Amino acid sequence: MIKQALQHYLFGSASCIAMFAFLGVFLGTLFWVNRKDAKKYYSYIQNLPLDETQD
Amino acid sequence: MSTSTGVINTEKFDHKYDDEIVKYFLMATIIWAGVALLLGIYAALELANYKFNLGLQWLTFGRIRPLHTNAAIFAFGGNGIFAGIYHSSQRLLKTRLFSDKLSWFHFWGWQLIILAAAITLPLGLTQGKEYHELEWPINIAVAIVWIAFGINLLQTIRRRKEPHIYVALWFYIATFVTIALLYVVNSIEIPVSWFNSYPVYAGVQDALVQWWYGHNAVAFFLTTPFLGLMYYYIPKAVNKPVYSYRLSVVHFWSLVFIYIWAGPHHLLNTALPEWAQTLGVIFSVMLWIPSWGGMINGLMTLRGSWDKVKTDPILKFLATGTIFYGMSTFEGPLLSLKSVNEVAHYSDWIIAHVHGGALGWNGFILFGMVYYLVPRLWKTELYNKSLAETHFWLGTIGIVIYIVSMWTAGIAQSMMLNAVDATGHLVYPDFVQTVVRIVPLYYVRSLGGLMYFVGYLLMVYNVVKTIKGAPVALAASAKREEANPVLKLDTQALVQESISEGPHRVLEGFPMVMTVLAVAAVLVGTMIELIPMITSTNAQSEEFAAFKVKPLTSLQLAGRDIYVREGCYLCHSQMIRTTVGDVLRYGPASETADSMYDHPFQWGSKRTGPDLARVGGKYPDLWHVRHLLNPRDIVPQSIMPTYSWLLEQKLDLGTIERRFSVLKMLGVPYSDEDVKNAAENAKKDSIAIAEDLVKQGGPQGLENKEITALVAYLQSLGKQTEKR
Repeated sequence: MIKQALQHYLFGSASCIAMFAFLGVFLGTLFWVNRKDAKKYYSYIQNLPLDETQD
Repeated sequence: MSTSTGVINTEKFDHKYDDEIVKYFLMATIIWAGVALLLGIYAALELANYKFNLGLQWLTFGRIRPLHTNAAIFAFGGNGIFAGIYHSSQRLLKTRLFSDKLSWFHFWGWQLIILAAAITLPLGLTQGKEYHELEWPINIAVAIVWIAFGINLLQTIRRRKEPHIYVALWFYIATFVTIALLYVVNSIEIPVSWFNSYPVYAGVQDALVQWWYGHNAVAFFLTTPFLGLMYYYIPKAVNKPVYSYRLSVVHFWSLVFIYIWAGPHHLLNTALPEWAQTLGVIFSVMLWIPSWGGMINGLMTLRGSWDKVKTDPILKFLATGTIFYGMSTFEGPLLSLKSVNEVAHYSDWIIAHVHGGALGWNGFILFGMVYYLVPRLWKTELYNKSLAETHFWLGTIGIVIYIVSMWTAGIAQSMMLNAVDATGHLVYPDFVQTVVRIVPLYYVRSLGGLMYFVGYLLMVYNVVKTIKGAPVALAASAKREEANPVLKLDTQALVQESISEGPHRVLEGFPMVMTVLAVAAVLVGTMIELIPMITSTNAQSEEFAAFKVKPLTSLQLAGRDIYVREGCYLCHSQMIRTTVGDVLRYGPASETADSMYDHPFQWGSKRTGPDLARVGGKYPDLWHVRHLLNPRDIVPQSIMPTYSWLLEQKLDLGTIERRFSVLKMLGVPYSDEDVKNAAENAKKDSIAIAEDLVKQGGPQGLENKEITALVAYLQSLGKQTEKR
């Protein structure tokens, strides 16, 4: 049954799955980076390449 | 080795970085860059004038082009990214690389693989799959070396003294896992002999798998690691943090998720099922946004420091490289629109697109990195800043000449090929009519490449003189520190205030979590595109039910393998698109069934010469023999090389039975008798063709010569499929 379903694969389902998956990833990431406690964390980490102890 | 001490979280740590391995990878980068560029110029001249092929089989364009692409991507690009990854990751993680032994195994293993490519590809030992030409023993070597690299990187991350994982490292992790996935899936092949194999996929399945691999090799070998390098070296060079770390997070996840879907944009208007084409179009267009997110992040990091870009060649290279990245990632989505693709596909516009990215983005980022690293690793000043500036301008002008000439050639040729008059006939019915108009632009392109190469030579001179001047280390480094005061961080305070525990740490602080999420991100697109394609287009599916397809005879198969060996697929496509121009010129559009038994598929990606999908029966055998012996005897303005050795070399049927057996195992409907009699049948057919050639007035003594096999194959094209 699965084989037949895959053989009759329809474009509509693929694009819907793809769209929702991408939206989930993108919107999820947007919410994630704008969490309340994100600022201090990102302030620290963005300066890591410039840490004087590196060179 | 360099040492430094620092304090973080009240723990004193003393780490000695392994910069020796970085130096070796950097030197390899510089050396292989020269090789790749020279091969590119040579290949360009071969197209401008067939005489550069020198009539030698090891130097024909069909054998040199894969050598050039492998040298540029894996030798130059590969060594460059390893140099940068090993240099930056140690410093971002505040720890030495996990294993010296693995580092050196990685380095020497990679160079040996490159040497193996340099030997096997000119000999014609190729799988015939773009950016994956190397045969199966070398594929195994690549996998082993890649795993060594991955272990070294991931274990270094695991042993880090810095708890937080900077975004550049995420790009490195994504590179490692995705290339591993791509390479393994595209390497599933059955060996026939030590340097011959057939992929398990055929026809449209192979097309999708190869371009899922091919485009994502660009994505995860030529983009993600370079973005990682950009996120490290631009802030370092300008001494400012990245413009927006939040943007880098969104950029990373969007890019990694979307990129993997884009493969089908290499197969638009072909026999690839519409649903797959459309997915490729949609996601390729969407890819523009995260790509530009990365570009903007890189360029905006330079805000307030544009005056430094005017005077610092390192920043010139890094900034311009990032701009070329933006250009390529705008052009790419445009090329993925079907209407634009109709013009661009198979033309030199695609070559322009590739080289804008390779020379502009990849080349310039690596050159910027070289100029940044060499003085620091050797603890001295750059020998001559003006030379670096001159290198930059030569390179930039060279790239512009290259891409403008190829844009012009591509669009002009495409417009001519598709031009239809008022009566509905082609205005330029002979393909060569379009070729003669663009050959002068091939010379212009060669000039662009030459300028880029001369700039590279200035870099080599500059680097050599810099390294030779290394004894002035102490004075130079003191001067440098004075000129570029390092940003002082209240590290302890920041760490105490920062989120060292909690959700950010879980999702962005643990390499295993990052790795699993990155794999998940790329698997989504992979599974949704590949699984239905493979299950819905097998031999029993409805896709092929309306057609009856004859598999190749043993002589035709031997000929097909010669076609792959000589790299004919690099200049000739076998895919008549559904576009008006293609159908008028070549006949009915190719069906998916036409290539159902082709392991690997031969749809091609460039038309330097005409499409061959329905060339079978169009010309007599003697035409093909004379054309291959000297194309200009048939088409005076042809730019095709001569293939005289095909009339001299004996047909090697030693493995033909094994080849049949492997293909039978892969689903090609050969009987046991076909397999057993493969060699005998091939000899009989070869003798029949040779005798026929003599009757047609052709040369004698061609029985059991390679030319008979290639002729048999060419005559089969378009003749194997019948509608039921």
